[in-house]
Amino acid sequence: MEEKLDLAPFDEWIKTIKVPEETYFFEFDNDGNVLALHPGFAVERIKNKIQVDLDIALGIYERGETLRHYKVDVISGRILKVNLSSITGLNKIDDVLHRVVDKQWTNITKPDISIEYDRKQSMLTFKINPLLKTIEWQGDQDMIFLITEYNDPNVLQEMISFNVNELVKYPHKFKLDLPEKFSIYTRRIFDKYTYEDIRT
Amino acid sequence: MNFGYLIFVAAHPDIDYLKLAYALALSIKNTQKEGYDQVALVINDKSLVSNLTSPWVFDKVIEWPEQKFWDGRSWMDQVSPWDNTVCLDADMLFLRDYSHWIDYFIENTDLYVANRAYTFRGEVVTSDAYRKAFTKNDLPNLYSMWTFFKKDSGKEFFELARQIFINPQEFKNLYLNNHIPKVIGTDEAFALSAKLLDIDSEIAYPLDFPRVVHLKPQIQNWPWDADRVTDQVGFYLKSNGGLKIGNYQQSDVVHYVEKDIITDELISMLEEIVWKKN
Repeated sequence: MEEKLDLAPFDEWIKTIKVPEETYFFEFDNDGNVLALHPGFAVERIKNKIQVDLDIALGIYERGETLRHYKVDVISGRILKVNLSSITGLNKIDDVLHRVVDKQWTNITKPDISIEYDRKQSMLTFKINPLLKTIEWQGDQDMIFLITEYNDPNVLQEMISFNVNELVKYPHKFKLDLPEKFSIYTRRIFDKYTYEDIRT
Repeated sequence: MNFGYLIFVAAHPDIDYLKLAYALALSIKNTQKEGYDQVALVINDKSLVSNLTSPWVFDKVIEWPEQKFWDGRSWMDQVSPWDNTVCLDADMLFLRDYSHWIDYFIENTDLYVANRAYTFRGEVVTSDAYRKAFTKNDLPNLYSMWTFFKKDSGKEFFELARQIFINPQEFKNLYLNNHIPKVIGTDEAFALSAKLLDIDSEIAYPLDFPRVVHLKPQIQNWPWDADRVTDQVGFYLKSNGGLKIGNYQQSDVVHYVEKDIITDELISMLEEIVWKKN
């Protein structure tokens, strides 16, 4: 005779089940170097661990960032974002003279630094991705932007410089009369920069 | 007697050769004077051309599905619709009017293959970093990326080049055993064909033109190794079609090699110039 199992119907079960919150942790060594990224349920036995924001975890899983982009300050227990150039070294011309791509020609949807030029107001605005504001910044902090002739960094028109910590506090705005076409080059300390020309 | 350029594009899983050929055709239309700006495209699927914004930059589109080899340029003499042809690689850009070169070749020769390349600083390339098979086997230093020929000329040369291309192993073992190249491309096939027929002094005699900047990284006379030219210097195409590489203004034909240089933005710039011109 077939044994009857005393199971709650699926519809009831699905209503009551609690999905555990998705959490991620960095495992790090005594110097604060990040060794691994683990899901929350797998860290019980790990000694040096620190919870990371979901966006950081997704940055590693989905956006091609590596563990070397981060470090843990073992004294304060904070996560630090590591400067791109201190990871890769300045080996490529694109690291020291990176052309900020026009938004219409790129697939980048969440840039680290977004630049907008409002033609009506003649206002050039620099913004940092809000998700990066929560991260301590380590490494070189001076941002330099060259406004040049279109696609030619040899012909400089303006130079703008400010500190990344200032940009974290508020967007930076500059009143500039710029020509119909121009380009923006920068020393690359973040991964993704975009530019948008706002004409309305 | 008409004249035109000929560009072959092959299907490739990662590289859109039609896009490169389109950029080249746009640059030809932008820079060459009338009568010297005709372009024929050889492609295995003609319908792909209609996806381009300005397909009219190709004056003739030749569907050529018969040949299965990866590089069809050894068949250039059979496929060209022109009386006088210059066959080019797809990954090149024209930057000024070169029609006076064409006048010289039409008047003085039946077949001519480029035999000199330049760095982006305008120095003659002397390094054999990519041409060990040429120096070790004493092959003439031919570059098929710029080949002029008149209709029905050079039949023996092209036929032998095709045989070399189709039967690479046999020719490698017989003639290239001082340094066996991994593949026999059109450059090697042309060079060996010219050597075997003993016509290299007729089809590749020294001239100061055509001037083609060859952007392979190891031949730029840098005192360090380089994987990509664009890791070392920027590639800056301006709105007027002018090109700077690093801070060197370019005026010769540029064979850029790195296919990802041709972005949609760069295509749109070339299109804008051609639309304003016409």
